[in-house]
Amino acid sequence: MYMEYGFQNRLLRVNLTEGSTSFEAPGEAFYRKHIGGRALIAHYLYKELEPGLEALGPKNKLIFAGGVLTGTPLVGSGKNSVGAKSPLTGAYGDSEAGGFFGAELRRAGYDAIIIEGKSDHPVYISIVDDQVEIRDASHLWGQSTGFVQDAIRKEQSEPYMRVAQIGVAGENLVKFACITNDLKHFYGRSGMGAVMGSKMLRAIAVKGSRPPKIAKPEVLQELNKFMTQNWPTMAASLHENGTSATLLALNAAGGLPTRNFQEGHFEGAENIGAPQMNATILKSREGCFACPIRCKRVVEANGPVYVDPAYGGPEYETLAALGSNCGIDDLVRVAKGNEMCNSLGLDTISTGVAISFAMECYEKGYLSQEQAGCELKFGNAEAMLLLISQIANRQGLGQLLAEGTRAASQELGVKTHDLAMEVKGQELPMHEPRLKAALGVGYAVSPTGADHCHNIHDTIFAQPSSSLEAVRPLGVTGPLPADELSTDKARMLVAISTWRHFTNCTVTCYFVPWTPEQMQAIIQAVTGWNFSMLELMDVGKRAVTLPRLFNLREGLTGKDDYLKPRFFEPFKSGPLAGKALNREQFGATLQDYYGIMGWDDQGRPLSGTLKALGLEWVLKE
Amino acid sequence: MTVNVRIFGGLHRFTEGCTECKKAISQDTCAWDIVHILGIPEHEVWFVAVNGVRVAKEEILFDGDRVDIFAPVGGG
Repeated sequence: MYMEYGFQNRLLRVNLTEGSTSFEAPGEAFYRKHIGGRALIAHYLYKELEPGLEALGPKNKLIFAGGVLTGTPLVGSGKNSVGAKSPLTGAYGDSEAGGFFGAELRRAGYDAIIIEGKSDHPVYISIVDDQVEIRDASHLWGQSTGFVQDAIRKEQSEPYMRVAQIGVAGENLVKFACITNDLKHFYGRSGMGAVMGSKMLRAIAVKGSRPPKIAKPEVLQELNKFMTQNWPTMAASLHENGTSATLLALNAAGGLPTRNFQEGHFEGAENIGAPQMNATILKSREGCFACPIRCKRVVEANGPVYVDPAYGGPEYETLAALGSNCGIDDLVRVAKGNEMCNSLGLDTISTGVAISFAMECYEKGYLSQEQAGCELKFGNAEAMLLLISQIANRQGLGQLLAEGTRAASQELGVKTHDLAMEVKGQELPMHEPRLKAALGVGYAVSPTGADHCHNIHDTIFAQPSSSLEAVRPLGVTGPLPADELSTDKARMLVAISTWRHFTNCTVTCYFVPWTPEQMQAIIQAVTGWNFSMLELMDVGKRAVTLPRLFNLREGLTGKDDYLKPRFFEPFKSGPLAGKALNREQFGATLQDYYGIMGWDDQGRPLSGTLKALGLEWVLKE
Repeated sequence: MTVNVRIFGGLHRFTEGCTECKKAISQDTCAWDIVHILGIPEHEVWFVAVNGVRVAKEEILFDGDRVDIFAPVGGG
């Protein structure tokens, strides 16, 4: 008999068609192999989803999952994941968010919730430890996320009940609708909000009182002490400036996505960067469960445009997606766009890229003024705000863009295909492959489509630094130029992205600078396992291989590992003028990635790879 | 001549918390001279930008230039 340290050994299954709930205990061996988060989600989606099913149909399953560290006192353990087949990509989909919901779910005694079926009326799920209820949410349907959170907390007489929910965009099945928790934290990517909306599930509210047990609390306390003492030097900028600190650096380097990735340098960057935000609309700094860094922004504006602080403030991704990438340097209106996306439940990255795509189509004459409904030029902040509302409500041009940028370009015709900045249907985040070359390969091979979280950011590893030293135990040998594509770079991409996939299993925040060696010690302290670095990397490999297998079964092939032609064309201006990715080097590095991962030249995992990872059961299915 | 310096990405831990300052410079002062003047270890710096654009280490500075010193950054 083992002791259940770290994992709660309890999954909650809710069937919304039948209105039933049940519980499962996967056992210690499962947790040691999967840890939680992405690997857990991918395991259940592969095992339980019928190939080819409709992502917005009742047979899709939506899984919320923490990892063995979620909800422990560990600094950075506030994240959790949600996954399902994605309506945006037709492939494996998931997304992670910080905040408090994941920790509360684990404190209620659950490592994950698997939601099946579809309700015939709007509902929300209420969880208070063992008490699980499916409640009517007809009065909440159509309301803002702020209204719904207040109403549920009042209804339950629980002011600190943690609420994960969709907004109007999810109800309207916008393909890139997100899920939010505590109004300020977002499972943004992959359209998970649309899957939740398709099930008529508006929210999940949770309150728990049974935190996971820790095998060696005194060791965990020592590790926490290290981070508590050292974050002011290791992550000071994150506290001071949030993720927006990145914007001016990327702009000066020539890699700030500008006007739909046509350029890499935005003349209005100073107006939307961290110093400007700090000096004008920043109201306060907030954080997630068990994190002293507090990198989240809360902004407020009370001029002609009111920005509600209840919905937090824009991250770097949002400042670039709704700002520079739409040619907009009006910080207050960018913050307004962020607030609208947050209250309506839209992913700000996909929303911004859908709008920048429409702006480029308009300027190039592929979209008429009549179709656009307004003067849809780059820089038109009012048009950006109008389109956010139209997308969430599926009105006007928003009806087309709500299907995602890839689908919109298919509708608008072949001339617009190369203007759609997506991979596998997922809009690109705000990172430029012509500055960070292996990140471009990472975009191509990512199972969820273009992604910046389980990816490499070449610029961090281009010179000797503490970040580089930290990843040496993963097999990273030395700095490599950010624009290099080579076998060495492919090795680095595999090491870094596998590590990132692992942290999406624990599920921990990669802004808290835990090293892989510290993470190994943390897993040992929490679970009591003699957990090795080899096991750590194997968990990460399972977390990328299972989604890959899911995608292959859905009919995706190596041809879906692409990058749009724009990135192989040189910038015409800016600090990186003349810089482009080299197609041959890109193809060779992609093949190197496949090979190092143990995949064939079409990106199919070899049977030996599956056996090494203990995934041979897939061969029998 | 003076230049306006901003220090980003946590590099102010090497400048006693200072994130913004004016520096008097002599003629022929280069972009990376500012890094050395401020005592920031070279390997901690990604690049120096002058007036919002990345420049070579040996770029000569002029009166009134805005000099930004950045640490390596990645995701956001």
